[in-house]
Amino acid sequence: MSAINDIINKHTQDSESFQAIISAVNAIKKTELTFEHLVNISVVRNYTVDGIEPFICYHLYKSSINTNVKFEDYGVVTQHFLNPNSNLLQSKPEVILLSLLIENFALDFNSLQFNFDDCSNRLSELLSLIKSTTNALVILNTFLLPYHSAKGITNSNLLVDHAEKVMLLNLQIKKFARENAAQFFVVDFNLLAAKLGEEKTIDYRYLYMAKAPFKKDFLNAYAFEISKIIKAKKGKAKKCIVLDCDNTLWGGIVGEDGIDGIKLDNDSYPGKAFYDFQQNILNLYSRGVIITLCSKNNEADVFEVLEKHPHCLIKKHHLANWRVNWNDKASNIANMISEINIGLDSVVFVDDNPAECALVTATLPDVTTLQVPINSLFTYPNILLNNGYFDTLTLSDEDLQRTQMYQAETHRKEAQNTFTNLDEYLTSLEIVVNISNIKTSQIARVAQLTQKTNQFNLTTKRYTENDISNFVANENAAIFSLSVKDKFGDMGLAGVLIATKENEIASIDSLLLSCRILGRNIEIAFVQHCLVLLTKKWDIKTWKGNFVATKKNMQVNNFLEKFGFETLLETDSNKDYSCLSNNIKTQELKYITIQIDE
Amino acid sequence: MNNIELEQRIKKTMSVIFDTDIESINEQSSPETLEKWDSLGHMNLVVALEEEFNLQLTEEQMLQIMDYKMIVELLTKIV
Repeated sequence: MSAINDIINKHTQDSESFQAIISAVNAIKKTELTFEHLVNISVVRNYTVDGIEPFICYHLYKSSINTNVKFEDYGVVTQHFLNPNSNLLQSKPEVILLSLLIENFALDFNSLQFNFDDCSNRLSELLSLIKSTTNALVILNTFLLPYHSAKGITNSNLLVDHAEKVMLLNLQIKKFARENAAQFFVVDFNLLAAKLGEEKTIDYRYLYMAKAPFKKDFLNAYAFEISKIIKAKKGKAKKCIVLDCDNTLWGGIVGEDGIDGIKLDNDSYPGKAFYDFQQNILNLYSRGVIITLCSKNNEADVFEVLEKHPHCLIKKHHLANWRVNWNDKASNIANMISEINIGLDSVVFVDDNPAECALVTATLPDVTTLQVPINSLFTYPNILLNNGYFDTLTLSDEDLQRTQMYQAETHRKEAQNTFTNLDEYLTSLEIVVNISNIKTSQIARVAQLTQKTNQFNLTTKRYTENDISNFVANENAAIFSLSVKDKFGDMGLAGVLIATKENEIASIDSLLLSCRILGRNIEIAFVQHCLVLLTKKWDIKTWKGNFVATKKNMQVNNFLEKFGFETLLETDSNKDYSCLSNNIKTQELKYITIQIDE
Repeated sequence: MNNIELEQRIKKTMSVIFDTDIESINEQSSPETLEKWDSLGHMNLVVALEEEFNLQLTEEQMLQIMDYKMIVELLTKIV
């Protein structure tokens, strides 16, 4: 638990009231605590939404993200984008929150003569204008459906149906965002309003007195949705679920109740709660989340349920790994996660037993532990969805194949045990490495890797798809992708090197590799080929590089030294390196076959 | 609730919303003495007082509570 979360808990442990949130945020602002990330957000709005600032801070602070929320001048929204010298465009924020109310966007909206076509055209123009003038990640909102109908109950064609028009505009917003999925994200106001109800959504007093329509509950929910998007951008998405079995995947205890006695089906309670929970897990699996088990049980009993129970949706082939034994769960999880080779902070653990939850929380504080709400199982199915733990900005082919990759990794480890000599083992893998100048189809995956890779990452710069496209368009920059396969399977696009040049000097802007390919010197093969290729292509005399320390990337602390780079300047958190091109060291790696796509 | 307790709770609420020490809230406290008591601060104050005392202020009451004394006077009446 971080010092930031300690302060938040101190203020909000009794209740998450407005005052508690404000005092937690103010207390944190007064400290000089170090955050892992920083995000600058500019708010462009056509109504008063300024009260959202503490809520945005609150939800981001919890994930160790510091933030500056800047409200642009109140006024005509398009002006901020039309004028290239506007404060907004000049300040180049990482995130723009565009918050619009329909009533202030189309002044005739409340009238039965509302000009829908004009409103829709202006909306299109505004969104296109934003797209063409900024590379910031933009968070839009849908318009709220009216709580009251101006035309009453009639279906007459003679009058405008405002609710229908709002739905059409909202579809237009969502479609635009989908077509520009790398840059535009939508918070659905109607989803929030449906959860909260009119009473907790609209403050009619301030709507009229200050053009500030939203109550604190709505602003809090809105800020939380915004924080989910920013957390995903900053690489905070969880990657793996560890599940207990009895009273977690099904009701009851398989060792006592037997496969026919456990509660799991699609039409009774609580069987359906467990069934729906499993369906949600499978949906996460389809989004690339790794599913594992950790249960105190007889392995045969558990797999009998998985393979033979008619309503058990989760099957053995969905699992990347498991520990079904009688050892303590904290050691089991630590050991299993190190085998999968991801950070413990990427893991969510679900168990019904408070003692097991407490043990894992105490021993592995980085793991997010969720206890099954055993006395209110109707809230259980959505437990993993409510908090956006697994939300990522984009999806790639690699996400959809992830479990096969981790299963192949387990087979590799098994094979390794049959060899005594490492070189023999590596040769037996038949590793083929493809090094390619980035292709358009790879941009999404490359951006995603920069957002998600924490351990083998030299500078930990996070990039959006737009940022990557800008590198591609820049003739003084190069991006190489690394794809790896061997006889056990295809590991997909698993590494990125970004370099820039100025005259005869080239710099390594970013270098990152997915941990699942490490331990085979593939990283050496990749980097030395990139260096040699670019030195020749760009006629480079000197290479520069740097290492930016984070909590998680100490394994690459000295990595550049393997290629002959020498330290120019060293501080606690940064090392600047340089190396003359003639002095670059390379090694021969006979067991790796290299293909180069230029 | 006695007056001392009421005043303490008002002071606490104001100190949270205006981000200042509880000791610095006194009879003279007003938008002139508290930097964060601007229009947004006033909206937050209303929301926080409503939450603290579990009530809903009328339009007239919202506009009336423009300094510490007025807040005490109003809440003494309605809490």
